[in-house]
Amino acid sequence: MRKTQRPVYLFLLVVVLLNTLLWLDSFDRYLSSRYHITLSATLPESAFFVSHQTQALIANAQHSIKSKLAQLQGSEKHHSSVDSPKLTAKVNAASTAASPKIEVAHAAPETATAVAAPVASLPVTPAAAPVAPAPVAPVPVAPLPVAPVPVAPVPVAPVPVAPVPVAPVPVAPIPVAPIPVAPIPVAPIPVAPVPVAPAPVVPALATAPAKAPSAPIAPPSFTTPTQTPAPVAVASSATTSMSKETAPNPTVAPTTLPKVLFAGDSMMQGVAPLVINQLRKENPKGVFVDLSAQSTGLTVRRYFDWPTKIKDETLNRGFELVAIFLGPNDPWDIYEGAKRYAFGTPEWEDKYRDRVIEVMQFAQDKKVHVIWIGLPNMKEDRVKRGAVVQNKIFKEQASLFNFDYLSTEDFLGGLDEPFKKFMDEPGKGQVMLRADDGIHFTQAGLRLISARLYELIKKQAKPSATSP
Amino acid sequence: MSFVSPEFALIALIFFPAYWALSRHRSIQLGFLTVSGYALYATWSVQFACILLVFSTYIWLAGHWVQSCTTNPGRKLWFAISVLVSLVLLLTSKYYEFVRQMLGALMPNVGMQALLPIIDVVAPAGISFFTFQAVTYLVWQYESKPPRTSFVHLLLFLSFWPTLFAGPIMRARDFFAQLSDPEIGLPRQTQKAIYYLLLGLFQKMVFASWLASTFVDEAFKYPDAQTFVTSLAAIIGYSLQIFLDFAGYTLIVTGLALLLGFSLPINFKQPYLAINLQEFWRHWHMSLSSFIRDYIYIPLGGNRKGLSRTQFNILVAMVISGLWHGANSTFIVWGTLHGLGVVFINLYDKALGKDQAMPVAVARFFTLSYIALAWVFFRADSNESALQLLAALSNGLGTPELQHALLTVFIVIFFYLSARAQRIEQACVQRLIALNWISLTVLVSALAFVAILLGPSGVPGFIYYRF
Repeated sequence: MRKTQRPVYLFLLVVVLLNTLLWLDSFDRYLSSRYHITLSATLPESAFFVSHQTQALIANAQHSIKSKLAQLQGSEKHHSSVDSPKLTAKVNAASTAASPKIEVAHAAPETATAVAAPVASLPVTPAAAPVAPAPVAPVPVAPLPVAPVPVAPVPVAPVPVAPVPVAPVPVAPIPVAPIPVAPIPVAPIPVAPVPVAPAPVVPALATAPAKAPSAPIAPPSFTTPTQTPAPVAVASSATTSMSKETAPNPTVAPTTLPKVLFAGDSMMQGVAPLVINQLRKENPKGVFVDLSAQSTGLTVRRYFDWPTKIKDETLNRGFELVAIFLGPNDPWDIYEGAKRYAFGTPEWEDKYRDRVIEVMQFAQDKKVHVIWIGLPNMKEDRVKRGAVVQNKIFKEQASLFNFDYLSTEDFLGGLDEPFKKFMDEPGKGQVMLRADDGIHFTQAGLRLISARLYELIKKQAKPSATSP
Repeated sequence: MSFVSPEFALIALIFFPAYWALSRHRSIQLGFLTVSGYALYATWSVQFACILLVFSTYIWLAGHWVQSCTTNPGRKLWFAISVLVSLVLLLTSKYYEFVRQMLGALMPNVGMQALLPIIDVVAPAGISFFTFQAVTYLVWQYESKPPRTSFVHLLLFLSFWPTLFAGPIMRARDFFAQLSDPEIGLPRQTQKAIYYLLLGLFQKMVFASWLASTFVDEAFKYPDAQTFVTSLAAIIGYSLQIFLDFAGYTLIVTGLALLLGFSLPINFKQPYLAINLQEFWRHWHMSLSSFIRDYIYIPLGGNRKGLSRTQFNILVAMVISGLWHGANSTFIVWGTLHGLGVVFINLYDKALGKDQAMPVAVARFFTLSYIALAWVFFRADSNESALQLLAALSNGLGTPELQHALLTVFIVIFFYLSARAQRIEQACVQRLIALNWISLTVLVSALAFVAILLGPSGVPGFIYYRF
């Protein structure tokens, strides 16, 4: 390198490395699972020190801004849940740095779990030690007001040990539900947008699937399925999502559909708007909330903790039904505490099952119905292998808890068959149902799933007290 | 791997010193740059990288054949065949399925059976961009008979990683002229590059992401649930978002290219200050619009064949421009709307004379309103969905919230700065030049920190990566 280039390079070096150091704690939100896992596993705890302090400062600043805004706005309702995965990581870091009582296992991405179960279940290893006083001068950080952890008596429900129909499970995993931790109130950044990262599993051409049809569309009947879809019209209509109020449609009579939470990854992002549009048409005042977030799953809880999110949202908003569709981001090693559960091993399967059980157990305790949507056939080998295991778990557990399992394999092709993008539709010939990435769906594929999901949700409707 | 991901930033720390260190060995350096382009492309898909290599080899051979022909008819024939074949991959991977499904739906209605077979081809990322660049190479070979180009240079031209995924579309003549410039291979106009990188980062990471998540995505997902306020905010918000997204992307890649020692064509010149659609198209995605003008509109006859034929040519060029973005009826509607708008203005000028122009502010308002309306079709998942969002403008007023006030302030600042963008750029670059490296490093580190702080969770996708 010539002399004239050295300052330019040093400049680049400092800018990039400095920001890397400052943002290391929430770095995993940028990286796909494989990078994140390597990063988390190889870096020592001390590497995260500066980042912890920085994130704590940011979280404190955000909190005080939010408090002041709340004071200004009077009775503004504080939302207790964390707003984005970005903040999830930051809050974990903030609470770690600000509260010496809470330990964090940073070598693993499961900070949330580590915090949630501080009692005895996790081995305390050097990696899991609290942020030790490092040679770096500690940044003075005002303690973040952490809500006291309500160590509510954990309802250890008896595990239903019903015989598993498919593969015999020797011992049903015990659903050790983690102690619920009250979510730390966090002031969202005023302009914090929703994550729009490309799906990490297949970064190339992950087609954004959400497309809402406007006219009533009957689900196409394909020749392969073993189940004939119910002739349901799926149409877009007045609807809402999150906490937005919508204009009610006065022409449609209100129904008694349950309050539905749609949870999942980009798979659900495609399906939920179609179903919500249809549900909203029947019940304009119904509560149908789509919280699906791209690149999320059950494997990397530090990035996005679906079990906790589902619990929090259900408790806060009183959902009566949770529809869950996720999985392609999950076939990676799970880190919990200092332990690694390699993908493809029975230990991984057990750990993954625990997380599914955690959701279902909570739902059963709170009398919330669950519809778990199984994964369809996949193109990429790793995702496909994952889907085989995941579907087995979803199906078995749904059956044990007496919840609905919606099998997409029945109408989109089984996982034991070669991947197919196209399927035959009478009168139309071969219709493309799957996107180029071999994971997501085309509009035709989305309509197939949404029609079936809509039917299952409708079955959960209760007789209206006010209707004649 | 996205240009705004931390992986890219960290790899750049290894790549740039190695690249600059090779500046005394031009051929090795260009070879290294070519390999890096393929390596980056392979992080998306190894299969795509292989396709690009085969495609580039074909283009190089086709250029050689075109040049080798001694007779004019022969050259013309070879040229036509070469261009058509070069478009096969683009047309097959991007449009075939759309046509097949359309015929599959239409043919039974007229008592015929659709016979087109399935061709399962995945469109490689950036195919629309590198295919158009390949066409400019073939045209250059055909028209100018330049000295024979090296195979590696052609590989580099089509895999030049700053422009590989979303342009700007480079012309072969300009790119190959740069290869003989002794300045390439070394960072040039470094402070300007830093300014572009920072501005692009803020435009994309902070502002475009904020607009998308706050106003746009929700409204387009549930169009008929919107009120006047929310649908208007979505329409305006998307107009700003797509500009900030794409212009931000262009700034980032232009900055990166400057660090490599290359200049990229200008892609945007404050298009939203245009007083009519023609001016808008001279300032919006300029590398595409000039391509459409030079390689479609003018060969169709341009404005040389009378008024009506001119309008027809405009309409065709605009529809093709729309279709270039993707095989979807929404893009056809978007292109048609722009075509009809330009035709209307031409006829208006013809009927009333150009001196009957309206005041600049009024003209800007109407132009921008029309452009924003057309963007609704561009963004929507279907034409019905677009119409629903437009119809929502007649719904109740709705309740304006704090975010709508913020949007209003943002719009005012946006147009205020847009009108002064040139001067601001010069002033900022001068300030950066005046700073010593330590101050510059501190300043840029802090600004990058803020951009990440205000940015979204995860790596944001660029709108034009889809095309």
